[in-house]
Order: sequence, then structure tokens, then C-alpha cells
Amino acid sequence: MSKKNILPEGTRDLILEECIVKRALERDIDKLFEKWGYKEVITPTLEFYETFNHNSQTLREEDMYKFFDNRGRILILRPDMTIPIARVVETKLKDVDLPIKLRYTSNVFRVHESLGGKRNEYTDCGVEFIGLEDKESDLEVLVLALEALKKLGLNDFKLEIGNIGFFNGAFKNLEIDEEYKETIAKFIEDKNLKSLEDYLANLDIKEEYRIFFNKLPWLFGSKQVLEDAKKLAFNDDIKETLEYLEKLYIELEALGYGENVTFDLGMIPRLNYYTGIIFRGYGEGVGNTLLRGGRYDNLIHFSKSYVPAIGFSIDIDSVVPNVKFNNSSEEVYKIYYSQKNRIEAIRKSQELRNQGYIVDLLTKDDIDEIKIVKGGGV
Amino acid sequence: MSISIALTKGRLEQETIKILDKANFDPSELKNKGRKLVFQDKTQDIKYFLVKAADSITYVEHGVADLGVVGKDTILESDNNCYEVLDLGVGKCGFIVASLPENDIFKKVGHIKIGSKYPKVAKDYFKNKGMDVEVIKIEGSVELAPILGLCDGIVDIMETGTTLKENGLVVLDRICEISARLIVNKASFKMKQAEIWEFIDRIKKVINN
Repeated sequence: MSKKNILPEGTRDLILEECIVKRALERDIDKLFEKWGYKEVITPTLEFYETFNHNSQTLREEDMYKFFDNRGRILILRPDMTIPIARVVETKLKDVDLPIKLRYTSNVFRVHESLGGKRNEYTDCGVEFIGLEDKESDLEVLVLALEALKKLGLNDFKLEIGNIGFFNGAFKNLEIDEEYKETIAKFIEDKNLKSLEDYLANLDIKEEYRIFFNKLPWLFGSKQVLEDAKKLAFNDDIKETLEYLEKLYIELEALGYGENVTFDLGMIPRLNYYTGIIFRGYGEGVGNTLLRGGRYDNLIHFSKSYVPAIGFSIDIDSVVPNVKFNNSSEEVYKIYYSQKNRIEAIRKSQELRNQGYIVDLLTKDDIDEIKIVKGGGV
Repeated sequence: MSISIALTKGRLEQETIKILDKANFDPSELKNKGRKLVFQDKTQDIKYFLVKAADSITYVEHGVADLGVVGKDTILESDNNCYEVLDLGVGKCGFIVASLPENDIFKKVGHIKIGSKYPKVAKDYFKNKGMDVEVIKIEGSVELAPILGLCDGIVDIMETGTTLKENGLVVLDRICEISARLIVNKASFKMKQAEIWEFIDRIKKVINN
């Protein structure tokens, strides 16, 4: 029988430098979250499909790895960490005083299209801040997201903020069926201008609104877009949303993050899931979104009502290729020894380890005395 | 910051070069390309690559290229995650459903087989119609399939309709219109906003004239 020495699609082995870089990033980010008072949670890699299959979940069935347990129930490999955390909070932390701040570093799994070069298993580092309304927790979480992006050591990064309330508020005025909402949102989110224009042209809505929605995909960039959007705002909901974003910006600027904050008012992913601000992080040289987050006030449910929450996660793997490996050989010793002096060698190595060094023991037949060499890398 | 653009080889290539020319970019290297695949704009910091349509999407999705020019047909067939910001108005054609006149699939009772080079487009179309059909992937000369009895009907691109007519097929429905689109990597659009915005603006001026 021959052994199959290949990996399933979308997975990979990480070795040597890649591994060192990834672990270092994970540790830095985790440490940061810990310093901000977030408690770590570890949940099982396996969950029931049912846990993930509810109406605010926009993941498609075919995007998850599924199999059966011994009683025929459908299991999945968790495709994200927010749902498991919501489950933990609803079941095990329901009597704990709010707010609850949780952090995680976990591998998550998605089935991507074949041969597209995407990872099907990747590591998410994230936080969830549960139990406080937007005005009481958004700023803190945004600052933490910015600090986390800073830790990744990229030349340049941007945290882009949007608000689902901007679209929802505007949609109210349209007086058209909800069924159009998702299609319009999808076109705006994908900045699919042509389809959006054609679609809106066929709807019976006021010209003023048509212009507004056609402009939405372009409302992104520096703080100036908030000013531009104000001119287009036609109801109080929209105005309020803009004022709120403006306030957040002023506060972030005062904290020294002005340079790194941008806006995209046409950011409207997962309409049934997010309820307030949404944000994404981008880095120079990284081709995909490396941080995603937002407010989801309708997900975690206690006996009487929903509990407001906000969170984000960082896709650590997408950053790894951009980080320069910093090999410091200063902390490494190599001890060469032969059979004659192995007790001495092990003793010496322990001594050095206790002083904080990494010690690599190596045998060499032809030496009489142990040889200690500093440096050289692991 | 430099930007890179993945252009689709072949049919769309010449049309795209014309637009770039008119927008005062310098695609001269693309015109006498020899065997080269990467071309530098002589007047600004832009790199062009020539790739196959579906690859253009892949390059842009991974952010290896910031922008791409690709037909809507390929976009519809892929499961991509890019911004689709402009309709370049060239390479126009449409997706159609056709069959032999005596075998109208919309009236057929029983199992229906559809041949197509675009299985995703075909599946999505019939799903929206509430019809359950079997789609068979065919790589080329799709018109042949219903004639030889491999399938009942086809979903394909139609430019003039001559090929269909010559093979005795009739168009039963027009699914949607197709043209070349400008796509943008999501992260690039945010990190290189000024450069990409300027590029789009100049192209937009040309196509709006």
C-alpha cells in the first residue's frame, strides 16, 4: 500500500520561517487583546451545522466542510468564530455581568472554489465586545483594530469605516419592496455600477433617490466623503449616521489615527447580520481584506432580548508573506558533545536555558571536551 | 504608487488598446508586443499584462493586478470578489438560450439537457426560471451538441446570430447583455485610491464620448 503524501486542497504545511513569523504575529496580536482586557476563549473546531444555519448567516451551505457524527447529524468545521462565541455567551455566560470582552486565535475553515489559490484553512485572531450599545463601545473597538493593524508591521495600512445605517436609512424612503433591497445592496457593495444603474432605472422611484443610490458606491475615501454625503442626505436617519461617523472620526483623529482612517459609505455586506458600523482593514502589499468587523446587535439572544455586540477578526495568514523574517541568532547556543561528556553537556545546556537562551544539543564523536558556540540561528 | 492592469488577450485586446490610446495612456508596447507578456506604459507608472479572460479575474482577485479588463461573460461564470466599476462598452454580445425549432425546451415535458461552455450562467438562468435542467459542459462549437442529440438546448454567447442560423438553431430567450468591464481589486482600490481613481476617470471620459 502506498502512502498518500499530498494535502487536501486549500491547506498547507507551515515550516521554519513561515511558522516563526506567523506565531510571532499571533502572539503580538493576542498580547495586545489581552492588554485591553479581553479574555481568551477556545471553542471546538467541530460544531453542529444547525448552529451556523440560521437566517442571519450568509454563508452558503457549500462553503462549509460538512460530515456526519455517529448518529447521522451534520457536523461542520467552524467557518468563523463569531457564531461559536455567540453560542458560548448565550449558553455559558448568560448570567455574567455585561459587558463581556472575549478574544480568540483560532483556525477557521471555508471551502473555496477549486484551484483558485485560496486558503481553505486560515487563522483568525479576533475580539468580540458584548453587551454595550454603539456609542459606548464602537470607539474602543475601532482603536483596538487600529492598534492591531499597527502591530502587523506593514508600511501603510488603512482602516475603512462604513455604517449599514446609511443604506438602511436611505432605503426606508424608497417605499419599495424589501426584496429589491438585497439586490441593490449587493450591487453597491460590489461597486457594480453598470448593473446598479440598469437595475435602478427599472424601478419606480424618485429621481433624487436614484441619483443618491447611484452615487453610493463612489462615496469612499478620506473624511471628505462625509461632507459630500451630507449634501445628498435626504432624511434624518442618514444625517444621524453621518454625524455619528464624523464624531468617531474626530475622536480617532484626536487619538492620532487620522491618517489611517478612511470611509466607505457604500460598504454594505451581510445585510441581515450587521446593524451599525462596519469596518475593514487593508495593508500595503496585501491583496485581500485583512481585517473585518462590525456591529451585530441582533445575533446574541438572551431570554428576553438581543444583546448588542461588536467585534472584528484579522486574517493572520494573509499578512505572513509581507513580514520580513528577523532572524536574531543572539539568543541561540549550540553545544557539541560526545558520549563521554553528555551529562556535562546537558547540565550546561540547562544552565544556559535557565538564563533565557535557546540551546541546541548536537553530538559529535571525535571531540574530547564539549564545545559551546554562540549564534548561528535555529 | 505604480498600478498594474491585467488585460484580456484576443478579441477585447484591440478594443482596449484603442480606449487606452484615447485616454492618453501609452499602450505602444502592447501594439508591437512580440512574445512579451508584461508591458510598461512609457508615460506613467502603469504595467499591463496580457492574459486569458478568466485569468484576468484571478490576477485581480489576488491583488497581483490592481485592475483588469474582462468580458461580463467571464465575470458571470466566475465566483469572483472584485469591484466591477465600469462598462467599457466594447466587445458587446449577449447570452442566449437556443434549440432546434422542433425541440423548444420551454415546452418540453421531462428531463432537459442543456449544453454550454458557461455551466454557471446556464444553471443560474434555469434556476431563476424555476426549471430543473441538467447542464453538460462543452468546450467549443456548442451549436453542434443539440444537432447531434447530446442535449436539447444550449446557453451560449451570440454576437450576430449567423452561426446559430446556419446550424438551424433558433433563439428562445436572451438572457443578458455582455460587454467588457473594468474590474478592480478591493484592497487596491482602497490602498491606491488616487492612482486608480485617476485611471478610471480618464477611461470614463473616453467611453462617455
